[in-house]
Amino acid sequence: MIKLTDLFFTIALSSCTGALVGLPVILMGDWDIFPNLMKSAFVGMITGITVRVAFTFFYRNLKNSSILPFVIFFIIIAGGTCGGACILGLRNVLYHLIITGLAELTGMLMAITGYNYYIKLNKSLEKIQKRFK
Amino acid sequence: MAIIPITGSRNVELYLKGFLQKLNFDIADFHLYIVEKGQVIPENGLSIVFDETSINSLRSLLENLNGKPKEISADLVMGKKNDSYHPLTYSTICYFFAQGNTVLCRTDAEQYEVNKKLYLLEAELLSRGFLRINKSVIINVIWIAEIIPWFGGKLLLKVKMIKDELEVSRNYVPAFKNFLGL
Repeated sequence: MIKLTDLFFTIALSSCTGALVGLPVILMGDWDIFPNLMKSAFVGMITGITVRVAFTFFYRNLKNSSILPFVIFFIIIAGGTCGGACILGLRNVLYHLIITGLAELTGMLMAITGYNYYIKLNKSLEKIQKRFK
Repeated sequence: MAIIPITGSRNVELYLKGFLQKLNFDIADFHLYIVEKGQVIPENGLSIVFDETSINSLRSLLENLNGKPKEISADLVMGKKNDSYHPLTYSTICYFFAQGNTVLCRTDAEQYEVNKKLYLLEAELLSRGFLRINKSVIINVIWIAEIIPWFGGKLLLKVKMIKDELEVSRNYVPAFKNFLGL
């Protein structure tokens, strides 16, 4: 179950990420910064919540595979970013590539950082368990 | 000899207080100090400096100083279930938890009521690998199957054998990581 505080955290983090990812393209296109930044944050928020729900689902159901969640995150981020940008009226292929590339880079960096933290925690757990056995 | 544990991290202080009280040490006098490495060493008196790796040697030293044999019952806790009492060894207990004013413990098969306060169990059992992970749960580290980094800086613990998942709340994450040596 997703708690309300977790949801707020996800919304805040993904909105900021969405805004940051959209910023270079908004500047390159010389568009109005504020409304486009808001749209970008909105797309980021939707993608972030989707990834969050997917993570909870895959954690419960596909725990034996460590690669599959990364592949699924990659697809969700790409789909969410491209789809969101299309709905908001972005047609330039180059801008799509830039925005998706940045979103993938940010999202996958977060996922890899999280995975490394997971490995570190569980290795330490193994050590401490040996001490108490 | 009088001993007072001071200037250690919260976990270490709780652990030493519980341990010394069990050995009937008077912790009100200030002749000998036990100081965790990295903390301020008092100028007067005699100080024993230790770190996490030497905590078992410190235990042996304190036991020898006091000369008190270990109690056989020290490994047992009485659990109450349906008006009958069951002696439980600590190693069979996955976690203790509070439900209102009642403290219960969970083994891989059953759940028992325990006639002890959670904060006392926390202090007493740290040396046995039991650690507080939120306001109402103390987990036996041996029974943790997996740690999942969770959202909002929290951690999710999967318990071996049973399907329970317990959350390490944000306030307890630093102490938990410290316990793991991170």
